[in-house]
Amino acid sequence: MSRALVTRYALRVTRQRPTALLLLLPSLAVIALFLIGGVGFAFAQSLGMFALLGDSEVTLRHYGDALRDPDLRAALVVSLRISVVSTLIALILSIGMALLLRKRLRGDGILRLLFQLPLPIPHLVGAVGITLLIAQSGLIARLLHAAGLLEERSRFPLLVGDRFGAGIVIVYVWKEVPFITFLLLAALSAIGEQYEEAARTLGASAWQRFRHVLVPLLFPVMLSASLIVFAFTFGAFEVPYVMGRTYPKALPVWAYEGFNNVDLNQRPEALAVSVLIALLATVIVLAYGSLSRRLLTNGR
Amino acid sequence: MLPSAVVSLWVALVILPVVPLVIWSAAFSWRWPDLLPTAWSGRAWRYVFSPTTQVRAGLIGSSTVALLTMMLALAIGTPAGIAVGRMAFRGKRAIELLLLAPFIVPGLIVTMGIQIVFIHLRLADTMQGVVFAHLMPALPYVIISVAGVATNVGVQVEEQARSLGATSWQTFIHITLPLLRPGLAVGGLFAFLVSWSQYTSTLIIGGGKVQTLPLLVYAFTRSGDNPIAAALALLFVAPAVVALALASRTLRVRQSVVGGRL
Amino acid sequence: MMAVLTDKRLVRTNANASAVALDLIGLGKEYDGRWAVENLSLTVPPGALVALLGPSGCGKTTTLRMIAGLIEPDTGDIRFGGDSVAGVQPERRGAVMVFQQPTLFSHLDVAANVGFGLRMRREPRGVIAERVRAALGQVQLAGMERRRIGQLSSGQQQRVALARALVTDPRVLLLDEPLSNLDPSLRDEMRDLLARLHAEQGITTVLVTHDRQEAMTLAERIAFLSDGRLQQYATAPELYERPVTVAVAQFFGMVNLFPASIVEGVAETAFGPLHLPDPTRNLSEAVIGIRPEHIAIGYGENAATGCVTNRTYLGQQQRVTLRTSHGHTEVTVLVPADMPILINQEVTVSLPAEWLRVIVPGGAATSDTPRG
Repeated sequence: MSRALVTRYALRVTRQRPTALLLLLPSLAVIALFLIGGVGFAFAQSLGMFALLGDSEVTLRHYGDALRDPDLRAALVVSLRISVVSTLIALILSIGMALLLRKRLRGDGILRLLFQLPLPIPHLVGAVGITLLIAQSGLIARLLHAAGLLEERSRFPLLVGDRFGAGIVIVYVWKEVPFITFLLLAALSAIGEQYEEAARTLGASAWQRFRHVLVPLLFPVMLSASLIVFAFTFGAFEVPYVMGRTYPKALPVWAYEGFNNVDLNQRPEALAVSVLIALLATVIVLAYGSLSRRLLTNGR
Repeated sequence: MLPSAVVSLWVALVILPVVPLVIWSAAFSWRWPDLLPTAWSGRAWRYVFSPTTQVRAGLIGSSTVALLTMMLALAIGTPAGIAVGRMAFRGKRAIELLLLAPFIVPGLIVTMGIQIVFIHLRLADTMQGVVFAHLMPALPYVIISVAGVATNVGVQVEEQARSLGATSWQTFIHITLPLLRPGLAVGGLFAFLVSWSQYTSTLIIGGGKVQTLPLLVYAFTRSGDNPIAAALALLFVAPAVVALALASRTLRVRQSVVGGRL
Repeated sequence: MMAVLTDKRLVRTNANASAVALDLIGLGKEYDGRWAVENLSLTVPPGALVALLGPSGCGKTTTLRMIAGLIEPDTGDIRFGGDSVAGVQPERRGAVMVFQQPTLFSHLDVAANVGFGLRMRREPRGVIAERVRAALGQVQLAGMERRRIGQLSSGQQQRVALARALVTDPRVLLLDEPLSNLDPSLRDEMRDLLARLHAEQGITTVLVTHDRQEAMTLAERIAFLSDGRLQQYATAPELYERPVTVAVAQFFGMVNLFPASIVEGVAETAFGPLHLPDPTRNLSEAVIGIRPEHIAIGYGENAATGCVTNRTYLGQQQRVTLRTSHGHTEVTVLVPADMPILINQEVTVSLPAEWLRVIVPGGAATSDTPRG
């Protein structure tokens, strides 16, 4: 009897493998096509192949040009600064929010729903709305003026189109806080309250519990959330495009404008930069690849 | 008391950006330093809903592209989701990572790189091209959603059906698909919304020939016509907000997290 | 000092002269209109180990958490050594809780875990190290300071949790089903360890459990809870032999319970008339109980005949249920394994009056002297 069982099981397993591949094939094909086609061709073009103007070649010249370009360095600094600041602020705010939200609040249905509002709103719209809010002639400036706190609009801090990119940071923080908060809330509910209770009866104060119990427990989630947000903001194009300054630009904007430049000779260099951005973003996120497992199979 | 107050404050800040959008959309002129427009006007909304303007074309364009993307993503992604959610096979880890690649690699780079391929395939500047371009970011949502549901719908149910006499195809149609429906609904919804929100890829691949709402929003913002830009932005955002508000009853935390990538 | 009880009880040394008494006074907690704990009053003498025993949902864990300060009671007061701890935060009460799951901090090693409470109090490093060493020795984990939590077995983890609690010198030690998560073989070991530690340290301890065996072995006194109320607070033999309510009786295996009205020392039951030792007893409503092992086979006092309906082999004994021909009452008897019993066999059983227990409705939650 056992022999029949074994053969039946083996058949089922081996029969599954080709089936699985078959089911996966279209999706894998699409994604591979885009990845290889997209990143691959971007890479190829950055090496000078498939040139739209002039002869094709294979060279690393464009990478050299890009890395030596002072505009690139400026753009890199801008992007890094925006990403780091956005990620840090969003993370700290989210930790606070998660701790507050995990005790159910009265009327939390509405609050919780509204808390999630940024999630379905695309970055573009968020950028437009926030610009109308924080611009020097924006709603907040007008409210301050009406309250008698602001005389001229030029006295209102420049938040859109400024050197730092403050408005961009605000948009990213606005958008990412619900995202990170929910990740933290999920982690907190998985962890449960027992560790803090144990620490409590052992004499730990609220701050001690936060520092010695919660932070170590939440560290993996905080890290992966931060990496995702950092990588995303680093490679994102829309918000700095709508809100950014003409100089210095954020890196993706710099790359896009190089790509779209009438002078098609700019393209390979722009693509070289894009490839570098993609590389950095990918490395960062892969450094914490366990998130993928959790997303796809409910953590199994 | 304090926690509630702090959260309420944050939520108020979160909703705040919507306020100028709403006000602007109904303003005739809203000069500094007025708190409210001195003159109101329905111009922007009339423009937005008028059948003769670009908005109509943009609306149709966005809807069509999003619908097509959704259908394609469902057709392709559902089998993959089933495979990932239920089966074990060699190299599964690597494949999972690959399937999530669109979340990781910035879309701008991929779009820029693939444009030349699309040009060669005569897909550039066409609606089909844009649909294909939207497929990549949309696909993982379907896969994740279906995989999540599929892990809970065990193989046993299907085996039970088979032992009662159903063929593979019958089992799929009558048992598997209905049980997977919630996953398909959520995944399809997200795929639709992802395509609906796409800006960069439509811009690059569509070359300006394919008109969608986000492109219009950006165009009107740049041109300084705030009322129309605001009205358009609100129109643009409406389906996503409504859909997710309705779905958030059944949406688990994990999925609302995934939705944050719009 | 408690009166000494069974011979199984270790002689309790007055090891801890500074042990405090624990008083629960009218303690109550309500959830959504339902009282999880209702009007609970009892005193744990200084240095004693008392068990809160009962089926799940009876409110024992809620009570424990109220003592710890993790839940706020709706009614009543809690006193450590005479001082009320109402409103005192858990971190200041000195009531340390050991949970069902070890709940160790996996990012710290064993020594850091054990020393956690002392570190929160900012004790000097040298003192902590020394006391951690001593505590680990007491739970037989000497030398394991540097181990990671993940490397420990569940039994070892639970012992670390114990050490972590004891090292802080708690006024009250609270154990929430500490053995439930362990394999049966480990349980005996841990139980002996708990007993030994208690004897050595003499800390006032409250143990929550649903396991009769555990409670009877470890605790000097058992508080039996059911439906949020204290049914009886007594020693194990008293709960066993002289249950005060039906709930207690059933939980401790006195399954033969007959509603009755007593007139002149004779209880009218469905089983038949039962003659009680005290001929002057009168009670309109009562329940008469008798343990299966005290029923005799054959004709005798308070006899009745019945038909065997079920027979279960228990090793040394058989559990036999029979239905009386007279009142169709079910009776459970324990008989030697080698006695030949068949289903549908007619058997006569007799209920000796000395083993009949009278349970008064709304029975007082104290032990009463044995009277028929």
